[in-house]
Amino acid sequence: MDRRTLALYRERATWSIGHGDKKFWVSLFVLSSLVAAGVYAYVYQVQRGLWVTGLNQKVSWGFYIINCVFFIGISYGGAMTSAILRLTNAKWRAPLTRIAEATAVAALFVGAVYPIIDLGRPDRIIYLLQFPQVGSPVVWDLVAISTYMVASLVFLYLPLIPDLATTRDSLRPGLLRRIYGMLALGWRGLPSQERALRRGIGIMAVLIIPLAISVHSVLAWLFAVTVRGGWHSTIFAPLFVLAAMLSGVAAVIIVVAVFRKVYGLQQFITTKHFRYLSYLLIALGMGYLYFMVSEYLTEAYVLEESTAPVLEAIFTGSYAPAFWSFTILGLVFPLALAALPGRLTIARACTASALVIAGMWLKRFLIVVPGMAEPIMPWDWGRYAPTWVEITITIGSAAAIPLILIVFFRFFPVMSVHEMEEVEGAVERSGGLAPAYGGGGDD
Amino acid sequence: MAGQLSRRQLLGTLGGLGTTALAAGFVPLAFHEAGAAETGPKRQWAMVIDLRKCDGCKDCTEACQEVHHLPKSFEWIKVFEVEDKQGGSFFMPRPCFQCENAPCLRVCPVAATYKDDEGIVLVDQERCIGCRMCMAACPYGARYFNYSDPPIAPNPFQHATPEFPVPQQKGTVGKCMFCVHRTDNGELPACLEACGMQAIWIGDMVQDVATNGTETVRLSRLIKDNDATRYKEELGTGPRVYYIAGHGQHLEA
Amino acid sequence: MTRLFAAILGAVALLAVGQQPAFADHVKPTIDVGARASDRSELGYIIDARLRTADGKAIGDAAIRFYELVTFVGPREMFLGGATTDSQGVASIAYLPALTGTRQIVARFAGCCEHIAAAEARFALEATIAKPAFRQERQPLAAFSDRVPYVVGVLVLAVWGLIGFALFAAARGVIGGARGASRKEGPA
Repeated sequence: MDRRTLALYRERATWSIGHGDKKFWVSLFVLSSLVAAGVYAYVYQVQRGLWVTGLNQKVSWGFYIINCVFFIGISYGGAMTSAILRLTNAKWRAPLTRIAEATAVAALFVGAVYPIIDLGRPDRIIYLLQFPQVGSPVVWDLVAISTYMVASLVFLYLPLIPDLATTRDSLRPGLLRRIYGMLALGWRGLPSQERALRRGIGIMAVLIIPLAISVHSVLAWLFAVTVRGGWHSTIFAPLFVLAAMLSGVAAVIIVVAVFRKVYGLQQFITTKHFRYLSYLLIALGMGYLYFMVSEYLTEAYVLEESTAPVLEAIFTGSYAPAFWSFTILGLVFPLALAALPGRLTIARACTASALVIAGMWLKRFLIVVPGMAEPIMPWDWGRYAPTWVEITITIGSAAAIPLILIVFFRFFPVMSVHEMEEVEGAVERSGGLAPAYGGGGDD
Repeated sequence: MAGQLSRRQLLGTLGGLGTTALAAGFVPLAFHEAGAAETGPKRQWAMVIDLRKCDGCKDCTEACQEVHHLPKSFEWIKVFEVEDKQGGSFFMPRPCFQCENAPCLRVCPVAATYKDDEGIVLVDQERCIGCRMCMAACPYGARYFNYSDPPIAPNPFQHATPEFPVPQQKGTVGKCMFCVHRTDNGELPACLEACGMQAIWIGDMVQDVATNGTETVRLSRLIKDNDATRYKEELGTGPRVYYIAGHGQHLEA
Repeated sequence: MTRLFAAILGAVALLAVGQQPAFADHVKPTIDVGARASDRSELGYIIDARLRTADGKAIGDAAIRFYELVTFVGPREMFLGGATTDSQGVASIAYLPALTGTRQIVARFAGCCEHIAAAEARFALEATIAKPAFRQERQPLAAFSDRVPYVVGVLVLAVWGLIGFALFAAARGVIGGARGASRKEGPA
């Protein structure tokens, strides 16, 4: 990449910092209102009690647990794009990592709040720290999510340091410059600093993958260590991890596409990136299909008394519409769409990803609700329908993610300048192989 | 620069730490006796329910709700109508089974639910955070969540205890506790006394005795002579409630 | 002829009388109850109850019910078993106590046939043989599984240590590098 293109890259990456146009303020207002509505619904719930939800004695877990798993799954996009692509030295990752890491942190925060929303006595949450029981999956959840959260923040912060320095240097002397300066830890691009930073980032990249795996495994074990049909399955942990990676990559595709459009990154994030990301999507999707087939085949072949009712319900019973919508519209069709020969348009990648994300939410619903509603005693199936409280909180939490992102990118560069320089520098050092991408991008 | 730990040193330290931890975790096993026996004069509660006699009147459910001031959705002892293999139906009251290997105990994150030394699984509603993990884990649906405030007890200043959790606390979980607050005071459980068919027996596995209020017999004889079985025993929960099916009825619906 | 008739009548009367118990008045029987160790120790004890009239005449074919006085949510009589007296008036049941110690045994005869009154006797048995103590089944893997979370806890601490190391070593390297360079450059 020649110096001019690099300068253009830097300009586009930092364009959003301090730049508040009408679109920004309108988005901020709309998203904040949605989040505020969600907060209002939660306060309403805390004041009155959980009876304001659609939960009952048979189905005692519903939207909140579904959303917890869903949003934490979305956060895997960061681990996938940033960590795995870094470790496999995929050069095309450079413009994407910042968006992916920031989305991961935002989604993780939103997802981690849900178990608290679900609690009957949130005022007693401190008991989890006072009297934790090491045998409880809820405590494993607490440990895994908090560890992953700290790791994600560190993994977001460390590569940010050089970009903070760049921003610091572009500011006029003043309070803002001092703050950036403090956060940038006196970065000057010196070789010793590069070494120290690379080591820290390298450790985190290696660490964040098993951490990510542990978080969704623990979420899976919340269900799998009970003896309910449809839940007590040994494949649950790998299934959840793969589902999270799938929904994470799909989320990255959509978020990157949106920010590319709105922040004018077309030159640097091209269809090639979307093509590569969709390869990941297809691979993960096929893996997920394989795990699903493995689970259902094993259970359906034997039709044990505990699993038979659930299988019947999702294949041919009252949950069948949801299940087949998920399988066909939410998994098979989008994967086929992404895999179609011919030039992949970003629109096609985004459509596929949107369907995958919606499908993944539906799959989490199909895991939680039939498992709770099934007849474990000689009674009828339970029923569950969410109320406005649960729906409003869901919408508010979904709006919180783009809200966090647009505020975040007001202060920090939307693409990682340093990582691009690093990748380009590595390319030059290795004798001028084809750079990560050409100067002019497709659209 | 000082302090630059080489990768090998780091991995070595971690490896050493991990091995030590693993070893430390297993050393106490060597001194641990497998299977501590519970002896002594403490009772171990059990129940036997005679399904030949239950007529599905639900007086037991109502009595329990009355004694504990529960809302109508709380059926700590719940009477199911089960279709049997011959095409008829029978009734099956289900209290909490006070499982020996209770799944609900393992999963509680704050130890709000615990087993007392007489085998009763209790819930401390001062500790419960309302995560409802125990409800997901119970294979018998014996736990109930207070989604709203329960009906006011006559004495609103009643100090609730795990043995007598009245009034129930909103946002916490409650369940049958074999009326331990009554048995500690020489009274039989509310469901047992309310049962017009005397189908419910309460027993002690240590003294090997069981009574339904009218008759008192050896618990082991009651179970053995009537081929009493436990529900979903294969789950390994170790329920303490036995059902006398008899007359060709099958518990597994 | 009359003598034959009287003889037959007398014989019939004698037979008839002979069929009846030898006592026509209201009888108050007594029960002696005791226990002895069974030949097979797993059976515990044999409780014998002898039912006799006041004169010592054995009463056969009488139903004796045995109870143990227990305290279980109040005082109760636990039914141990029933037996019928033999020609010696002895009824026996096997009895294996659940616990050692003093056991209060009651033998009860409900009375019969309008003229035999009910009777009851109590007996304190010092039981040294009892059923094996009630043992709660412990899952075989439980001891192992109980310890696994603590091992995992150590791993978690190690991970936190690594995260802290990554962050602070990198930070220190960056800060130190800046200081080192500014020292080389001298005051700006």
